[in-house]
Amino acid sequence: MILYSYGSYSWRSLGIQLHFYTELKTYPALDKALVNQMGYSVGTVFLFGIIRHIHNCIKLKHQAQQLRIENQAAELNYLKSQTNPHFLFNTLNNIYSLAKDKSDPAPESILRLSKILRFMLYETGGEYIAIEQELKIMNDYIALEKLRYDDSLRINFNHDIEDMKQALPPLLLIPLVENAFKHGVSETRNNPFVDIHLSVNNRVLSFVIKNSAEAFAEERSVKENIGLSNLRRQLELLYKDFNLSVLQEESKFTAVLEINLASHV
Amino acid sequence: MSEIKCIIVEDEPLAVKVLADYISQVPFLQLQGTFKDAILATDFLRHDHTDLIFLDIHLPKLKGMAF
Repeated sequence: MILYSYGSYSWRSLGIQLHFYTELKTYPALDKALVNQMGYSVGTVFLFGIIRHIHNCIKLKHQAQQLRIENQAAELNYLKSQTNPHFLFNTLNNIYSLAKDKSDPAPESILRLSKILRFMLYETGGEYIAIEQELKIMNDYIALEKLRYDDSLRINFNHDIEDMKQALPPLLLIPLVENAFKHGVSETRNNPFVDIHLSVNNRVLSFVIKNSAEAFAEERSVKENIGLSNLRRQLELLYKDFNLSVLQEESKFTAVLEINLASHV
Repeated sequence: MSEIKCIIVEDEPLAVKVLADYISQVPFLQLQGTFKDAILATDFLRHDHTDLIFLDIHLPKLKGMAF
């Protein structure tokens, strides 16, 4: 306060020295002075209020746009990682091999691939899908991945879901399944396995994936981090209350995802 | 011309099948064995000799490039 008063005082004295100032007005009575000065004060308050309001508006718009862009980027990333050309290529090669022998799983596999592609093309555009849809796609995906490996691969997939129509953003769970195959099964020499458990109770989703893994080389953990940080970013945009954790053990990799579905933003 | 001896190192059984099919169609290729990872192939190569290896790049543990 003292600094402020001193500041204005020195500015004014500078103005007086340069003959550039408004004279101090004296008013005959206090109420006259009040009325006269009040006009300026109210005017100033309004002016700054409006400026501040406009500033806030612009900031808010900017933030909303930023959020939308980030959201879209994440979605795009996911679509990219999902319709993974490598997966498509592999699956087609496998189906070719099956068809060549005229083996029974061939038509079924083509149908599964077609279902996955339809899902990617038409269903993932929306904000939500029913959890049962994601489950079906997960099943198709697992069946197709299974073609690639021999009988030593053990897959255990179970779920306990209170409401199959529960809305869920598309492609939220599949990246973790994809990871399990990409970094787990395909890297394991002996007894590869994938255990998947999905449950939704009291609007709390819990998704646990365990897969065989051989712990070595740091480069692998870096690769996993890219996929996981993508997922984490998407979760941050969608939910307030979630937990995603991974644990790398000697020969096992565990990913746990918990989401309080009621905390949707 | 003597036959070229070859092995397949590939972890996906269906791909092995396709490759083995091709090899059987080529008259001068003789398939000695197939291995589902590079470490098993190394064991084989310790006591046997081969001319040609059909090698996958993405293999469990020991990558094709490293092999």
